[in-house]
Amino acid sequence: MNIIEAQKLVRYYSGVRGVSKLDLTVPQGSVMGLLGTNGSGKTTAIKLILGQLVPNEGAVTLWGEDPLDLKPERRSRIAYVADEVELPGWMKLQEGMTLYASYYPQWDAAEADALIKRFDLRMDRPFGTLSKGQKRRFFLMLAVAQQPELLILDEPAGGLDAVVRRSFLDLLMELRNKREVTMLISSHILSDVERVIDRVAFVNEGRTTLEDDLDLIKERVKRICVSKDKDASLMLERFSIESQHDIAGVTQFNVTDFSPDKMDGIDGTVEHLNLEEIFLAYNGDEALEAGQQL
Amino acid sequence: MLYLCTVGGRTIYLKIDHNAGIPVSAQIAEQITYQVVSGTLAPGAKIPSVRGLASDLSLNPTTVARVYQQLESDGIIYTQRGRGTFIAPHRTAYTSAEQQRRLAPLIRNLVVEAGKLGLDFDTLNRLINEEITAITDDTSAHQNDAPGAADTNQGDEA
Repeated sequence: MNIIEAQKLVRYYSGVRGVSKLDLTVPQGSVMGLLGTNGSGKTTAIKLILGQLVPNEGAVTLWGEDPLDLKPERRSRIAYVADEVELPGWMKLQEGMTLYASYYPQWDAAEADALIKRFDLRMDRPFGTLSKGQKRRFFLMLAVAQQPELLILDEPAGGLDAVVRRSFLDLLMELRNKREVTMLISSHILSDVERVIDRVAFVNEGRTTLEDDLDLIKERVKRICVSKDKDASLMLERFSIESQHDIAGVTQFNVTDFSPDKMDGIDGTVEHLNLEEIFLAYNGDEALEAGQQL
Repeated sequence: MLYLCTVGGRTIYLKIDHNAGIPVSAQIAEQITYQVVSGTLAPGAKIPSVRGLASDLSLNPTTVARVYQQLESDGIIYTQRGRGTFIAPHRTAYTSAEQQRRLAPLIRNLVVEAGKLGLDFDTLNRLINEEITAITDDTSAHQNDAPGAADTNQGDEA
């Protein structure tokens, strides 16, 4: 069963397309990485999925229903940790948690306590005195204690140091394996999410440019280097090429439909690509042109 | 990342590099195949369910299902409905000619790669022999094990 299904979503912002033709399928129990450069439309996509924005065109469903028609019991099983969330600066963490918990009948107080210890949260402190990393840990604690079936995290690792990011990712893996929480994680730190996700959607200029299981993508997307014209033309005949570069007499092809038998008679070397390299093969040129950072 | 899991009463290590370009399912299939060829995993040994292994390795069950599919189509494991999944008996399904046909491209790549690096072929021969010795040493060590014996022989020879 698919928890999230989005088809050809379009959403304009004051006449400009924030999202155009965005497709997304998140099966139950999977962890989907929604990956793109800054400004590619990831946050807009999440707001459309949650029903916080209504699409101008296309359709999105959660558990097969329109997000706006979801029953309250269902809705209370969605946890969303936004990129930038704030509580009033004077509010103590304990008060913030009590307020949040009151919305969720299934609130797990024991889980909350365990996470408060694990994340080293000081509940008597006012929200305004927390660092960015502490705020994120606080909100993740709330999201997990809510016992979600669907957890949506927008840039969960942004602004966190390596140690905290690791403990964060470990927690996400626990949630996936022990409780089968379905997750949608937007991020631009690809090496981090690569450990957790099993499905990938690349978003570029509001469009889904690639969506599939991470393992299948790694099987099919390869870089092949050839140095002879004969081999280069065979490459063009046999493979579908996402991008190519000529460097000192060698042509690098980033292919999206690799299989070993297609290399018969081609003298070339095959390089495996990790998630970041695959992302660059798909989005590298545009990202560089836009002067954006990965 | 190094993971421990129990297969056929034996504890084995699986090394998974999530940040590599090789699919995780291919990494696991390759390591299990090695353990079978080296005799660490004996024919008939029961292997964990897809869900069980997925939980041991912190992976999504669909990834592990892909590993099992691959191993099954390679004849390394087989599934008996209602009983579970097991390491397959040693196979002689391919004729010697077919075995050689399948290996030829791999051997050619190996020789070309060695030539490219400027390695002399005597050294290449020696390296291949060392690899064969390593895997057959494993095999003979395991043949002396009592069936179902705990994994106590690691490092015995050292």
